[in-house]
Amino acid sequence: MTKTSATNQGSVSLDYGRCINCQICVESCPTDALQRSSDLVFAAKSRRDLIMDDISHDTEANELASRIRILFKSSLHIRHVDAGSCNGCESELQALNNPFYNLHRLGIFFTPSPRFADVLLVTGPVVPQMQEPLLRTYEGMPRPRFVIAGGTCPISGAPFDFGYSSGSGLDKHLPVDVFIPGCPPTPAAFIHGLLLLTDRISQRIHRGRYE
Amino acid sequence: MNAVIRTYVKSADLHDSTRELLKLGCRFQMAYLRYDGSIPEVVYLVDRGPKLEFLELVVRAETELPSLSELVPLLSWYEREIMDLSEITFTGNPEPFPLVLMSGMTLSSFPFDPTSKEIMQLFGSSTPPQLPEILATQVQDLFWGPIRADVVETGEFHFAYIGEEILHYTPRLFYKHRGIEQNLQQQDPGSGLVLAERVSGVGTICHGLAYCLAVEDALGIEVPKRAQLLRIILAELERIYNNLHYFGMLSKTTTLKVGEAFGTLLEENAKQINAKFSGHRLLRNILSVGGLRRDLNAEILPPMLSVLRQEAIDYLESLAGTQSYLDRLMGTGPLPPGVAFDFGATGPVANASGIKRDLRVQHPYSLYDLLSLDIPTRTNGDALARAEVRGEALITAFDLIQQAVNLLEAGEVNVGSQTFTAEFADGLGWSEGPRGACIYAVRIRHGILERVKIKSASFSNWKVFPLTVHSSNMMDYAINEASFGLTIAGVDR
Ligand code: SF4
Repeated sequence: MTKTSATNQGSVSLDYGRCINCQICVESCPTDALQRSSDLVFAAKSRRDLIMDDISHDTEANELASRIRILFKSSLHIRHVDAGSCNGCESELQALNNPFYNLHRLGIFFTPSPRFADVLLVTGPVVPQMQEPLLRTYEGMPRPRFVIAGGTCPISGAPFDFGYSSGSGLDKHLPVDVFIPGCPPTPAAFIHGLLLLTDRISQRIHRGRYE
Repeated sequence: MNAVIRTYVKSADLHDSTRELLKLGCRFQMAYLRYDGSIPEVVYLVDRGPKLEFLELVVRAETELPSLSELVPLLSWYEREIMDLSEITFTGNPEPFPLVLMSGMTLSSFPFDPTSKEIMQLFGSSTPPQLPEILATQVQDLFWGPIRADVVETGEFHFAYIGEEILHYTPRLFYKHRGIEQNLQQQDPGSGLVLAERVSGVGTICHGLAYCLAVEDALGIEVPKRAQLLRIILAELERIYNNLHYFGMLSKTTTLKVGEAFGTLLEENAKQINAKFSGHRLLRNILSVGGLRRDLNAEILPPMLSVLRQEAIDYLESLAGTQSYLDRLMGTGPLPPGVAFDFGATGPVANASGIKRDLRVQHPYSLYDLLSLDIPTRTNGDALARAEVRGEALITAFDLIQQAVNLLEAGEVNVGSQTFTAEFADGLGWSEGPRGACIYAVRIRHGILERVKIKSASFSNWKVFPLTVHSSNMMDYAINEASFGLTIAGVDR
């Protein structure tokens, strides 16, 4: 369900923060304007970098934040919170600890307590009943602390952004440092996002375009 | 073939009709609220026996209906869900407090009424759950969750215990309730699949397939043979990676580090095979109403799967030869057959307690009747029995794929550009997922979905699981939970 919408000029905008990679847009596009691509690793530090449109914008640059992030280069502890996921994202996050991906080799660990965590990694659209536990976890974290939206759900709420128990994404509740789209993101995409957070790798998507 | 026959009963006769059905050996599957125009009705879906049509027992809903939970304990959660999401009460329900909505949370109006145009929202802040009152003084209370150690789904568990012994255990689920049944309302039947595939991420195919079969049943769509066989292959690939994950987790809880590493590595291999075959590690975006979205090359599978199959056999053998693993599973969390039946256990959990049920055999769909398949069973009903049944299901899945590959012939994989629609139609679809029976009931009006009911395997098995925890001990809890192999997304929906 890639969200495509015609603006008044008749141009198309594409929001990877709502994309669940189903590629139905490609199949149903009457003019073949959209093409399949195998670009998957798309994590970004600004929500706007996930949107391809014709409106120019300034890229958010915060050098101090970046200097702080670099301090976490060789040791990063994550507290994961499931805020209403389908368990697909958990399945791929759990895979990070299997011998194939072996996340530990990068100095990145999951930690049981928010008190030891540097990063809050959230999955799911943030449904009403999860708002309180999520915020309580965040409050329990020491500073500086970072927040990652892992998966399409916590970026925009899609595909669960309507109905009585929906969510519209994590940045409505907390400041988000890195957005990792994908439904679910592959383990490689998760790793890319984690490395991006600590400036160990560069961002590959700018204004919705993969570079 | 019609999947369902329907009988209307008066609420006063509900108990008698239920008793009769139970006497005939029928098994209730689920209950849900649906509207006939503006009139609410409660539908009880009953399995009358192998290869027979399912029975819909329908009662016009009044504000008060008699609870059937005493006769059919598995219905208790369904009744509570209906109570949460409508104005109906079931008198005599033994636990008449909120289930899918947390205490303290309120809905601005009720879903499912097709004539209502209101936009509803869930709001409020949750208050402590209802727990059994404990009078003895030495009993300790432990709340665990909702955010628990490790990468796990959200759920909160309450233990009342003395020393090591758990006196009473209450899981508080539904933190993650997404209201998917309501989200599916007003959707086009073709696109509803996007949500059905995301009810339970690790059950993409079992949910997606049951959904497709329900819509196809309603619209009278015949799926081409090749697509049906490829769907079997997808479903069995899902069973393979889920069961490998299961053994990884069982090893983890029995503190076998090497066993855990092996299990999760084999799961990874299975997911990579999924990706090579279907384009997606969790097998998403390939099913469609009417067949598959594109053809798949199944010839690449046998060489890859024969390696994985042998690795899986060796892995299971080494687990079965590990004394400390067996010690922890044997006698842990026994579930007697009668309890398993009454409380609605499904899939491997039911099979391990001596119930020989499997939708692939009893109500074959998608050409499963062309394949030969034995349902593995055990009688002990303990964690070891559940693990053994899972192990056999894992190896059988490889064999089923081989059988399906052998039957494949070139041909169409979907109904092409034909369009199907209906002014008014009901459909029922089901599949046997890695965790058990998954059932979708759909009602289509004016070409769009008016009501979709989802019965997930985990909803059934979470209802049963606490019964095996009461009076067990704390040290075994995690092992027992892993031996059930539950998901929370599936139950919360
Ligand atoms: S992003 Fe997709 S896979 Fe992840 S939780 Fe949401 S629906 Fe599931």
